[in-house]
Amino acid sequence: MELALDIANLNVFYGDDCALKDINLQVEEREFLAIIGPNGGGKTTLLKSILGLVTPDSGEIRIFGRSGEAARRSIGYVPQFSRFDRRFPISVEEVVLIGRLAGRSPWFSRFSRQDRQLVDSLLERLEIAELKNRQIGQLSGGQLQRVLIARALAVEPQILILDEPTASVDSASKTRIYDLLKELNQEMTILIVTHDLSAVSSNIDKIACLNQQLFYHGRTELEAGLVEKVYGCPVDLIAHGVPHRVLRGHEEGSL
Amino acid sequence: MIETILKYNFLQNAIMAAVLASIACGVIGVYIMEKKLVMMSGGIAHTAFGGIGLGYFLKIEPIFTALGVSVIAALAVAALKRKAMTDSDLLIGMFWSLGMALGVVFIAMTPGYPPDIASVLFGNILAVSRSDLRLILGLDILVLTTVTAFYQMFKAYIFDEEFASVAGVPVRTLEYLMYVLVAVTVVVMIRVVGIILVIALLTAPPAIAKQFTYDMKKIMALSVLLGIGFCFAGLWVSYTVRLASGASIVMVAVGAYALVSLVRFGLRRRGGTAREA
Ligand SMILES: Nc1ncnc2c1ncn2[C@@H]1O[C@H](COP(=O)(O)OP(=O)(O)OP(=O)(O)O)[C@@H](O)[C@H]1O
Ligand SMILES: [Mg+2]
Repeated sequence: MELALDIANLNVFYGDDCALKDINLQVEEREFLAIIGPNGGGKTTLLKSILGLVTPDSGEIRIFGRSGEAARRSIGYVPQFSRFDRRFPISVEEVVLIGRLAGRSPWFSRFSRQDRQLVDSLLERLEIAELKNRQIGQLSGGQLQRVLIARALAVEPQILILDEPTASVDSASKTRIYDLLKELNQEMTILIVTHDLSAVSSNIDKIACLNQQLFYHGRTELEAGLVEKVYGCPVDLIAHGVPHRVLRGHEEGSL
Repeated sequence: MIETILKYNFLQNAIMAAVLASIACGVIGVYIMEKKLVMMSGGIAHTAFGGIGLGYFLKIEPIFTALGVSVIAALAVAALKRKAMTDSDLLIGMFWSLGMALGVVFIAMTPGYPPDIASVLFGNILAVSRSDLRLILGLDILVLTTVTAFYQMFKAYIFDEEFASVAGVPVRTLEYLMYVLVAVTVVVMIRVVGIILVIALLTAPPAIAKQFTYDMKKIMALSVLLGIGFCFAGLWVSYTVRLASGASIVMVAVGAYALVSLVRFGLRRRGGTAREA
């Protein structure tokens, strides 16, 4: 199978602070990879390097064998924090349509009927069709999150990258979003950053544990309790505030 | 008043200027509001004064040098913002005063009787000439064509620069383009309300329009109409009470904003609907 993503010897610094050190990571096509790690571990930085939003100091990132601007056109991105103004005069439909701009010539871009139909079907799929004409500020956090997922899917990506997409979503919606991701995984490669491994466990093929360096990258057999072995304690603890000790334990090999 | 308008050329010119200037102003005003470029626009307006001074000094039509200088200043701020690790806010502050200082120096160095600076600073819509109108019309066409050509791209860029850049929207180019559009619009407005008063007319119409709709195109259209209305009303006030035209226009615009906001606030209190401010 072709490699969807091939990262070799990646180093990223913010000024003098090293955020990512010598990362090597291969993701196969249609793989479902979960990236876990403590706060400040560099997960978002890794995703942003892939997306070209952060410039690495060294290393190479290849997307389906190619690097650079054009290769990134095949990625859909759901950010961890959206910094946009919630009072911006834009409707849900218009936000999702922005995904259709990917790879367009900037001159006189107009959205076709197919574009709108695709957006309709995505809104349908994410169960937010009735919010289509709402202004973006008049949504709940979870509804907004689904709009952002729809926007990423509107790119028609081959790789979908999600940075903690379920942080503000209730548990029922969470399950539905993960079900949807599983379904989407039939067609596309998925990279997801999450603190919430138990919920994705049935979907994921591999996990990557990131804390400046890549500590573990491999298959998961959750029934064998592998994740817990990696961390030396139940994974849920990662979300509850003792990440450093957990990872140091792993680093020292004191499993 | 109609009779007077028909009789006097300068009044016809003033009305044409009000309409034409409000078009660029209303459209770009929405971008300024949404991209939070109010300080930026103020800075560009004041650097334009340097351009005006340069024009007097070099004996070139000052409005052209103002256009050149403010476009260059806008591009410089955009470029420096990326290169230097400085907040554009700080840069704008320096450009702001530097532009004024250069203007003062150039005018002082110009031999002969000093030009009418007040009309540059505070506008004099009654002194708009045919050639001014032609320039304003040209700039209007430029602004409208650019906005139409890149409408979706601009919207994506202003809304969420990060996602836009991931989707391959040329955000850098759009940023430069937007700054140039702001500079052009400011110059268009100099004749009408002047360098110092321009900010109110760039911000009040979109701020009012946004209270009525969340559709960007409608906000733009409404801003244009409001701008025209404010200019006409200001002209009328200035004509009847014998006040400076620029000041009258600005007072009408800000007064209208205050009024609309108050009325809506009152209605909301009475209606009691929960709606985030
Ligand atoms: N723009 C920035 N400038 C400077 N340092 C940064 C910047 N963004 C992140 N960092 C630093 O880089 C490191 C990694 O940050 P990153 O956001 O990638 O972590 P993360 O794993 O996504 O954390 P979280 O779980 O909190 O989202 C942190 O130490 C952070 O302080
Ligand atoms: Mg993060």
